[in-house]
Amino acid sequence: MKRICLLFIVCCLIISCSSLPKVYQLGRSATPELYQKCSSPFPNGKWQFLHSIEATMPGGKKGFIMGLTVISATDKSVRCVIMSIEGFVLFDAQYDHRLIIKRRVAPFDSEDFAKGLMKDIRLIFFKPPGPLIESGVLKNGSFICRHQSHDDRIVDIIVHSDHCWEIRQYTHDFRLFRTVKGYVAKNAGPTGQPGIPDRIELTSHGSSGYTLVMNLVEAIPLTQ
Amino acid sequence: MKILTRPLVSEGVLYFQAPNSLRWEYIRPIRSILLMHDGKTKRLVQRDEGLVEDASVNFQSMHMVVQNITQWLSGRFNMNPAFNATLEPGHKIVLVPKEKSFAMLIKRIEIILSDLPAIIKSVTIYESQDSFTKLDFKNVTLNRTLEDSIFCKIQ
Repeated sequence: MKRICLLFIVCCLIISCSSLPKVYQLGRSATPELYQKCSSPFPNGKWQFLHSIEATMPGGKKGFIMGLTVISATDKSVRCVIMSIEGFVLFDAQYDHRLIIKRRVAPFDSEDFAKGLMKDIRLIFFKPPGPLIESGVLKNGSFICRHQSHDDRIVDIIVHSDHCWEIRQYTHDFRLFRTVKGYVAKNAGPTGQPGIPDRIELTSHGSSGYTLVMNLVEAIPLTQ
Repeated sequence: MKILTRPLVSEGVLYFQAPNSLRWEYIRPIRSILLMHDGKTKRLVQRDEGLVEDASVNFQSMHMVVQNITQWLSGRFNMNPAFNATLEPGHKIVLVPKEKSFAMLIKRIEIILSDLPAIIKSVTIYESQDSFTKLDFKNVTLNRTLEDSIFCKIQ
């Protein structure tokens, strides 16, 4: 009986660990297009983005803030400023190989919040740091590149036929941890920058999960 | 803010009725309405689905700013015991936090009075060495009759 129970548990684990979507490989001729597609969510060079952000906290309460993000794809540095709608700075931090918090006001005053925020920003704007382990298409025809990060997390970059994209981050046991969805306008959006998503939705999964809906107000390319 | 390539500018309209009724409405770039009446404060922000209530109005820093703005608009610049208020040349009132912990939030506030009586020209809130928020008041109308509904209904 014990053996049957053990076998059942192992089967359940295998099933629960098999939640990564299946990747159908493409021929070699399609590889350049595939890699180009998988790079499309990530801006090159240095940019300043201003988003209006709707944050849905655990429990469903909604808060509205402005997020100013300066990112550099070259050195992977991030500067992030969170403001009230009226422009008062509630949080200001920089990540350039290490985290420096310049200003933090409740409820954005914890170190964990700052670390988590920087991880979320890096997930949204930078190519995954780990090696590519699989690539191809999903059942629905969307392009997919699968990376494994150094902490054993899996990151799927999925680009749909309408150029909208998803980044899915899984834990080492393949539980969905973060989902980022980018909605790209057919033509250059209100900012006049083609390929920059007008709207980004980040979902943190789990019991203390949250959702950030980021609507682009302004995107400015910066010279290095 | 130093990192900004150009300042962020928002435009809107502000209604105030003594002693404590306030409607602080931004029209662009993002529509939001902050209502304060009968001791209750709420803020609504425009989304695709309409105006949505915002829980972040209760953040400590926002609460403090909203409370103080009604005092300044009433001409009570030295009522808040958290600040030292001084009158400087050029119709300028400078408020400096007394407590060090409070100074972490706001370094100082400069209120410029208009040449006309009872009118504030601007309020500049210095949050740190390299960032400030300036409220410029234009097209000011005094003593207009205002319905209570302005301060408690979206309209």
